[in-house]
Amino acid sequence: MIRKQITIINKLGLHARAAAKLVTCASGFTSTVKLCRGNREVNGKSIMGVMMLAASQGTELELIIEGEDEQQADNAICELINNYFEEGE
Amino acid sequence: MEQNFSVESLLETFRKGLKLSWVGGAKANTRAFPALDSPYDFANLVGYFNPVRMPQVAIVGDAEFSYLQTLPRGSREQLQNRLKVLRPNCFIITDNQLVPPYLTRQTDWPLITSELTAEHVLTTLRTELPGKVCRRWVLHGSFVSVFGVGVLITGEENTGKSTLALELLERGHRLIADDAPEFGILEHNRVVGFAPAAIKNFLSTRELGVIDVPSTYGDFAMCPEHRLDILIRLESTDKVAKKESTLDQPQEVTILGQQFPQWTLNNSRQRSLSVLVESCAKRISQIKSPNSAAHSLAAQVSHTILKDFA
Repeated sequence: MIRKQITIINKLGLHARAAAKLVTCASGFTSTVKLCRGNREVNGKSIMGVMMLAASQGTELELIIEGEDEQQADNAICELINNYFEEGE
Repeated sequence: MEQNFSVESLLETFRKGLKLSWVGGAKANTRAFPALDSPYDFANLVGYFNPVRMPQVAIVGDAEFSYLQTLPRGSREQLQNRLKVLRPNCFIITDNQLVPPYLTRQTDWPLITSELTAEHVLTTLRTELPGKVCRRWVLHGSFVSVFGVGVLITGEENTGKSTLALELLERGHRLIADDAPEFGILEHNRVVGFAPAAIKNFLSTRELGVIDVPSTYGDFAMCPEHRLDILIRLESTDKVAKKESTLDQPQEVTILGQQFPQWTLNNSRQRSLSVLVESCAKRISQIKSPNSAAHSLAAQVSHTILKDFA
């Protein structure tokens, strides 16, 4: 199981389009993906769940991934977040 | 940081309903209510101004106002020192009364006035504030109200939770929240589900994408909060094959320390799951008190026989 802190760095935060990209990315793996903000834990493969977190720029989230392809899923999700969801800022 | 309900949120939420306005201590408007875990914590949330046991929201009605007005100068200082220790989150001065000047001088005490009576403000806040400040937990699933029974539809991914919620909306039932409803424990250990601010009014299915529920089904199709009564767990064929009789005997599951009946339904057969859910919702009152009429009659007869025998 991988458990790590990750910061949302893009300007608009985890807005609808970014959330959709994250869910699409997470759904490509068989591992379970969970995101936590405070005591709110949501399924990283569910668009409404991810949007519900309403994470703005600078928000720290906990990422929990468990499954056979957890390392690949972790790499892909972290790359997406740290790459500003491919939106340039 | 998680945003807790603050004095400013209180003012915004109840401004119209309770005719509130801000009169002092605006600097302290971000003072937040701690997230309350247990229904017993609510006992001291809202109450009349009381220098012995100060509630977090202290209401100054006409009786408290007369007390504050007639307090001798020396006692006022004592009271001010006491308030520094007790630190109520805010004061609400009701009945359109003028705020005593020695209270407004304290810039870090949020002061709010209301045009309504103390009883009105107290009753409203006691009913509605606990739901705003209670600690909330997210449960994965769709939360709907079926015939006034709160039904949480759970299950693995792709088991059709949101699609079943949509089917129930089509049949005239109401949605609280899709996918990530939040739950808290209120008075009498009632577990209540809420729609999170960011996703309320929307439902998302894999096939149709996002649906704006009020625009499609009308405002009445949305319900901002609801008590949780039963759970429906959706499973795929292989897993449910052995459990043909699950509808007869719901399992007991524990959610936030409380017991709820849960029915497991197979979603892969060509049958109407919404009808089964409606049936479960209708049966809930019978399950809570099985054969209540027969039991009552038996007890009544036994009681009469015993009395006669004596």
